[in-house]
Amino acid sequence: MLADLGFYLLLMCLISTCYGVVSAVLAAVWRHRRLYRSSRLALTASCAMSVSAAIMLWYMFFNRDYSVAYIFKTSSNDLPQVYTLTAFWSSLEGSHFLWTLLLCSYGTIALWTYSKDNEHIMPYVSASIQAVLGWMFYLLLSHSDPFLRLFPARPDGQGMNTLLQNPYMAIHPPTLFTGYTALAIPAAYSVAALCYGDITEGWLKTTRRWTLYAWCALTAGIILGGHWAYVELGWSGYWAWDPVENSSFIPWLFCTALLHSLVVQDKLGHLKRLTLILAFLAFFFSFFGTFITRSGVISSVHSFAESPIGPNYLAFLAGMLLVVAVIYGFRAPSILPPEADKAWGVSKESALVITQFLLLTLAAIVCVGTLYPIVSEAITGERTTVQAPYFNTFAPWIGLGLVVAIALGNMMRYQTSKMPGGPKLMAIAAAVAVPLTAALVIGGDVMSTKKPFNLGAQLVGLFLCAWSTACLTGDLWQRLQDLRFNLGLFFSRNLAYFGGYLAHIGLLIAIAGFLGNYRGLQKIATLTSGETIDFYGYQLRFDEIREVQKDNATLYQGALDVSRAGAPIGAIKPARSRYPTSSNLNHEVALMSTFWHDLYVTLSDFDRENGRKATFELHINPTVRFVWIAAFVMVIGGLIAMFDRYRGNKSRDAIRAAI
Amino acid sequence: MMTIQFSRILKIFSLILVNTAVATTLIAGESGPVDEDALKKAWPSDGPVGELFHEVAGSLRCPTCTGLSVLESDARFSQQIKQIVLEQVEAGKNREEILQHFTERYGPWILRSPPPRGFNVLAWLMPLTILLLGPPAVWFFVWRKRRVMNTLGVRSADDIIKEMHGRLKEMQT
Repeated sequence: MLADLGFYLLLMCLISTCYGVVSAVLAAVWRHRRLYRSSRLALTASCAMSVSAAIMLWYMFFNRDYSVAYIFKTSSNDLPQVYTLTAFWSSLEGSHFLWTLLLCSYGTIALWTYSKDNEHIMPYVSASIQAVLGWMFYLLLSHSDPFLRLFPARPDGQGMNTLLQNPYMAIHPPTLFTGYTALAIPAAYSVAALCYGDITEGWLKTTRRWTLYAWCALTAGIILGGHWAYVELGWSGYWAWDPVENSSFIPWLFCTALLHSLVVQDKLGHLKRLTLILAFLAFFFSFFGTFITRSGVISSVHSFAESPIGPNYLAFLAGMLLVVAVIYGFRAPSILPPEADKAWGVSKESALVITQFLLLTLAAIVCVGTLYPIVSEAITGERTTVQAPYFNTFAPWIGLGLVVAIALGNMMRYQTSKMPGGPKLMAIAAAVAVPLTAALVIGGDVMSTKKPFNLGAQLVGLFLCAWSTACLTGDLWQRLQDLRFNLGLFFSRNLAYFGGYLAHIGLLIAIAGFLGNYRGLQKIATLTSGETIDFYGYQLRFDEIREVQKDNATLYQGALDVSRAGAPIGAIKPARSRYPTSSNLNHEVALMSTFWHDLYVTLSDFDRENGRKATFELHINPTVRFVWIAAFVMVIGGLIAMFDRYRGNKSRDAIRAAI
Repeated sequence: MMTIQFSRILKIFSLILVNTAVATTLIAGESGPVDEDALKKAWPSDGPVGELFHEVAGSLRCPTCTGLSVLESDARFSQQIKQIVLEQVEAGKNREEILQHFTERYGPWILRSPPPRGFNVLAWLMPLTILLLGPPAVWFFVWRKRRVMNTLGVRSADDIIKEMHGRLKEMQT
């Protein structure tokens, strides 16, 4: 009953968004304000209805209503409450639904929180958002209906994917999808600006805020996904250049490039068209990522044809690209270059362009690497694999290029090749960087890297990161000095700068963390009860395998007493877990973290008879914590920058022009 | 009708399971059923044998997982491949010979990055091309346009005044 109601609500959403698109387009053509308001109400109604439908689905999840196919597939009677909540997005239908729900909500927020300066383009924004939404609702109803009934109803479900029963997997998809769907707003604004034929007064301010919001969510989402892989999959890494990961990384790169393009547009009025293109492509690639991971095209070209969703996605993506390309082709000439004479030279704006170039190059490489197996199979018929070694050939160089570009770009100023105090700052930074690098090298135990090439890359990279950090901080110091350390003034006027400073420092910390990870030490050891093993300064004493019940899982824990230099520092319990709904044994990783490295232990095998013998895989993973800290710093930086009231405000341009 | 739709749904699900597209960052490192009889072998990690073993095993893909090498995976298939790699390393074969052995058996698919031969050269050249041709392209499209037009598509007033001054000077001499 409730399931049918949910289905009809989604159907109503489809009808309502279709009406919304038509009315918004007509409102734009006829310049009919009340018709536009009606289209906005249509989206609001869709939002309310899809939220209600989602609540119904949740309600049925908690009532264990197995007459719904999706609930039967993704949950079971033994599932703990919290995972019953997150089972909602643990498979295709639900995650599509979540996508749609979030897009609906952010679209509604965007339409209601519009700036008066953008009034003229709002009908186009409404039409763009609802066009995408309409298609999502169509897909939801036709190919991935979460409310599909199952007859007869079963007494128990098949259970949630055991790998997803992890707190990080509970928050990772909504965060990432928030990023994906929030990117729809800048894209809608760019299409609207093109249709309208001009960039309106408040365009930059609004677009900038939404892009920053999406960027924060994407950054957090990607890192949360990495953290999940780190603690759940048990291979001691967090990033594998897997197609699914790549497809979340590409929109991030576009989004970051877009932010830098927006800065140039704000300051000089240049790169307007590039901004429009990037805003659209960022959203396009977040859709594209969903397509390549959902359609089955990644595993093989042949599985693509079997799924009805694949061709649907492809048609929509191609259609979206075509429509926007046509709009761009006709309307781009009306997006005019800046009025004032602002030439390009060796200055900050050029550094920003180079940054964008590096980011987009990395995006292109990741895209090529991800799609190459499909292309190769389609053209030559030969199946190939593109995995980490390919990406690792190129990515570090671009990363180091970015590190240098960040340092130089932040010290430069707009419209001048002079770098205030530049050479002095760089020299001081180099002097400061030496002890900083030394601290990183000693703390991270970098010198024990075996390969000379890797060691060299690590030393150079860490020095550059330290130098760049020092340069950025020096620049911040200079700016504070210019304000005579009036912090109140600084924080009231320079939140965008300060947020950017934090975000860049965060990226540098992350790159230092990636560099430290070049050296992974590992050992596989089989221990009998009471035996002790020495592992790079740690002594681990194996006791025995214990069987423990935790929620719905049975854990086989191998208790290890850890001591360092003879002094006991605690116990860790790597385990394998068995869930009632699956025959596989999952890893339960045991971690003992210090600031500099993680002791990462997995239980790979154990004696089933008496539990007195077990094989452990021991890893020392240096500087992993840097990456988690970095993500936090970056997100905080992005959020601070969001609250700057002056960036993107046209009124300031007017003042400058008057001078 | 319900059942037809349901079978379609099941099909989609099996696809999802294969492609691990459950949520957007799912790397299904196959945990696999644990071998009942023998405890997992301790693979060498030190010495020349260990280093070569690491290098070779690190450049072969785990056939049943996404994104992982056989070195990082403890799926049964990966264990077997590692065993063969270890045997060949101990038999004194070098890196190329062992990789050749696996390419002959499984095709280039087993290598984690496509060997730069034939069509695959494209995959390797593309990034280099972008990196080499990109800066000139940026120069051509962005920086070259130093002469800025104003809104009416006319060169800016400053430029025109400068040119007029030049002409005046020419006329005076």
